[in-house]
This record gives sequence, structure tokens and C-alpha cells, in this order.
Amino acid sequence: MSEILLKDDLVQDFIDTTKEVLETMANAKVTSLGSREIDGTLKDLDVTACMDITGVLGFSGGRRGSVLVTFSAETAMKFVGGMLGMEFEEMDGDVRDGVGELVNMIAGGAKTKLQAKGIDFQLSIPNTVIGSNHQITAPQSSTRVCMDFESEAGPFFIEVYLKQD
Amino acid sequence: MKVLVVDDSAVMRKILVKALNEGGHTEIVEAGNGQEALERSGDVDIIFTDWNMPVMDGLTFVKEFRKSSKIPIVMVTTEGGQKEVLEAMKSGVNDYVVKPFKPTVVLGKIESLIKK
Repeated sequence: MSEILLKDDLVQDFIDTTKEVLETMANAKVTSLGSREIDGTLKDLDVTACMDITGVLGFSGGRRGSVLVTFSAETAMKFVGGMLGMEFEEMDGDVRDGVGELVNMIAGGAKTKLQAKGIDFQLSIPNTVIGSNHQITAPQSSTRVCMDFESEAGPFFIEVYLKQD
Repeated sequence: MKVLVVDDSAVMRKILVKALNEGGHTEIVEAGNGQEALERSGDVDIIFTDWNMPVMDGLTFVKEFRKSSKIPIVMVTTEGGQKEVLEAMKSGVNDYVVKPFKPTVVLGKIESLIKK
């Protein structure tokens, strides 16, 4: 399977799954604003996430890389609030845990769609990174695909790093 | 009826407990991984368990639990591939819910499995 086909499939499957997850679990309408792709080898210390909270999950097996879902605090609180039917005023343990669960469901759903096309991989357990304007560096020798979204809860974005074997 | 909810995500456990409460099920035991689930599964009537968890994953828990009990187990997971569903069913899972899900789906599983 060609690298180009893999990326095209990957982007659409992540966009579709993100909409499904947030609509089903948080009752939120989400609009895709498109995707950006950076080919080739990224420099170490290339800055990616720059909002308040990121859910991170690694994948390995047939493909290796990471999935990151990044929100502002306000957006994260609204989405997790929608999942639990309550309102949050601060990013407590439930908001952090909820963001981890969101990246888990988004990556898991995309994995299922990609598996059906013969692209198989295993997912790790999610983690969250918190901090105003936090920075996450891209692994070396990776291709990065960024997907931007808009919603009533605010903008957010998803990044997928594909390790170049 | 006593329900055991197993998931390493506290938020996912709250979502499941809320759904069960809305269906009138209030006797609920929670566990954060398979090991805790083995310790807390003594007198429950049905189990909802995640697959990917630290310490002991859901599939290992199901295999261990099935050595001594036949009560219904529903796997609630992001692992929605055909291969994974078959593996879970072979290991002793009775039914399967793929995340994301609507609360009514969870209640429907209780109805179908307990009434069987």
C-alpha cells in the first residue's frame, strides 16, 4: 500500500471518527477545517501543540507513531462536560481523564476503519499533557499530519505523527 | 441486580454508571483494571469491562474470570476490529459494545443478556 494512499485514508478516517466520537459521547457538532501535511524529516524540537491540554496515544505494529488531540481549557471542559452531563469551571481530574478517553476513542475508531483496509497497528494507553501553551516535540524522522476542527465548544486540532521506517 | 463496571478511565466509568442509573440499576461496583475486577467480582450478576487497561487488561481478566464463573460479560472498548471481536468472544465475552456508544446501547445489553 502506498504512503500517499495511507495518508489520505488516515486523514479521512480520523476526521470521520472525531465527528462520530464527539457527536455520540458529548452531543457536540464538529466541523472539519481540513488538513495540513508536512512531509520529510522534521527537525528535533519542532514545536507542535500550543494550547492547554493534549491527549497523547502511541501506536505500534504495522505503523509506528503518535496521535495527539489538543484543546484549549475551555473547549476541553465543554466537551468533557457534555460527556458527563455537567459543567466544569476548572481542569480537574475528570477533565484530564476525559481528554485521555477522547483521544482513546478517536484513535481506536480510526484504527478500526484502517484495519478494514488492511492497515493494522496496536494502540497504547492514553496520557494527557497539561500546561498553558505547552510544547510537544515531534519525534525525529516523522511525517506530521495536522487536522483542524471547529465546534460550538471552540477550535481544536489533531496531529498524527507517522514514523518513517 | 449487581453490576461490575471495569475501566481505567474514571470518566468512562461515570458515563457507564450514569447510563445504568438511568435504567434503574443502582447497585454498581467499580474497578479500574482487571486485577481489581477479579477481587471485586464475587457476587455480581453482569460485568461491563474495557479491554485496554494497565496492570491487567480486560481480555486477561475475562480469561481468568471464566475459569470460575459463567455470568454475562460485555466488552466495552475502542477495539472494534473483526479480529478483536472474535478474540474477545472466543475468550468468553458474551456481547460487545464499541466506543463511542449511546447509553441506551448499554441498557439494551443488560436486557438481552439477563433475559436469555
